[in-house]
Amino acid sequence: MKKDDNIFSINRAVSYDDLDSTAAYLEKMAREGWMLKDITGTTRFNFVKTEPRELRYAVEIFSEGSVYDTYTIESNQEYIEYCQKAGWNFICSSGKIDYFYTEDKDAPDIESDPAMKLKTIEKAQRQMKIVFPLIFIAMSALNLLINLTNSLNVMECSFLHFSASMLWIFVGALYIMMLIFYLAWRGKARRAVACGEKIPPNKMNLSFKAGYGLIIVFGLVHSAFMLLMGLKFGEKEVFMFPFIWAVIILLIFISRGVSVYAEKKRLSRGSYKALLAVLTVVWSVVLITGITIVVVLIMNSSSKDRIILAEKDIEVFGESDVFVKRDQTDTHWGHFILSVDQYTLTAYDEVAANRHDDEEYISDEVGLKRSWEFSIYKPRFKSTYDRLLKEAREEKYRQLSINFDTDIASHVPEYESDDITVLSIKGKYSPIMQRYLIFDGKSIVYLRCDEDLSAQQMEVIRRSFF
Amino acid sequence: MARLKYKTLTEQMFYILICLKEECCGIDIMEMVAAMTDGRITIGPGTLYALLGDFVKQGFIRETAVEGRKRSYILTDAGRMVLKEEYERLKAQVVDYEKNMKS
Repeated sequence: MKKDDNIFSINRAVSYDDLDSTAAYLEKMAREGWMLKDITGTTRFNFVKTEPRELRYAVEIFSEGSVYDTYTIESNQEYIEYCQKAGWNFICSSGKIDYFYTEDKDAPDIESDPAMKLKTIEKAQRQMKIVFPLIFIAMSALNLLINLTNSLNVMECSFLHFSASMLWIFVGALYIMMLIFYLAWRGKARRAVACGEKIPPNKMNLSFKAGYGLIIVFGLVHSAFMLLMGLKFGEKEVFMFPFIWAVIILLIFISRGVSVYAEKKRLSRGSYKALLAVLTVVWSVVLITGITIVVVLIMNSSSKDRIILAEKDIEVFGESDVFVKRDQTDTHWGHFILSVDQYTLTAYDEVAANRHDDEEYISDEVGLKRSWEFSIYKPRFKSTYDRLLKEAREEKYRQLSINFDTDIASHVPEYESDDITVLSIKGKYSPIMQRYLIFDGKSIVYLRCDEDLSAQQMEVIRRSFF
Repeated sequence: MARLKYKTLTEQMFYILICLKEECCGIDIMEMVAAMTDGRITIGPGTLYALLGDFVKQGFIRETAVEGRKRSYILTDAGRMVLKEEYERLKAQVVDYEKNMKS
């Protein structure tokens, strides 16, 4: 808002289903001695100082216009001449909307047929109030469906995934509300028109400040919450949310800047649309690059973390023995590190791959491709733990689920104790592959290896994970 | 003939079509209708503009001349028929009224 002696500018959201409130606002401004001069971009109303005047304003949709019109197009000129003939003075056009004023109290309304006026409004509103909400509701529903069927485990274990899903549900709910409010208004308006009454205004529109304010406040609150939760749960992926929100909020200001630029250059509808398309592509690239950088930074930092967390870590050695390497100076055996802090972590062939410091081993062991593979499930909720085991029984495929058919597995009593159960499948999925499922009511370790576990190896696993 | 969009004509549509029995400039119709009905019917410029466009699409009227931005129109046979049908409908209403209310 800028107020000097002669010019006053303010951003104002104009909604097609409540144009009369804008007209009333302009009339109020005229009474206070501010006359609408023009509108820059699509939202910025500029007023000039005049004597206080009692004026009538008309804010009308020109249905052949487009939101991508950056100047008053030729067919609009013809419409304007009709209105001028009826005593209305043209001020400016902005997108599909034309602004007029008159001092003549008896000048006929520009739209004298409420039924036709309502049709024009409905047509102008269709994209924003029907098509967009339906698209977003469908996307939200699809996201929910995928989460419930395939990614339930991921959603429960990854805070990032969980909150992204919540965000989608929130967006879906918001658009369902928007759609319901709009359809309710439309029904009311249609009934009013059928009775020959005036179209009632739709009061469920957010003002400019409320709309953008809501996005900014919500973005800040969400980002802060994410950072807090990310730190609490040790999931640094969530640090990308503040970045995403910053990009979204910045885009609002940039698109406004672009609309002002397009108006200044008098771009045609086509060029303006092309410019917006280019902006969308550039912005997507910025967003994707940014997310990638954030993810790479997080991955680098978290791999450093794993070394720092050495005390909690377990080092597992290949050949036929598995044991914890206590002595860090012994580099003869290569090692890989599993962080038990992680909800799930899988390491393929890292035993062999990390053994580069010993040439004998490279020639010997890499060729053998001896592999050990762990998945450690430490669910936060008992229900998730129960479901994981149930799904293992049903061999149901989901992301992060256990592919282990408990029905054909046998117990390994010599490894079991009061609280720990050990199931084993040998040769079911591949001739030499041995699979173990070890669980204690809180954690599940799923182990695939190409040999039987020795009692000593099992002891290491039990000590490390349970 | 184009698809009939309107089952009945509104008063405003009716008077616009009447004005176009002879070629005339679209923009003048507002004053003509006001004069014809002694101000009983006023047509808003936006409504007039939209209806003229609609009528051309429906084939009720056709464009005859363009002078700058001033377009002139004239009623087509299809338009005449629509107007005639509306007239018959109104007449039937009057007859029914007289039969039932003035006996």
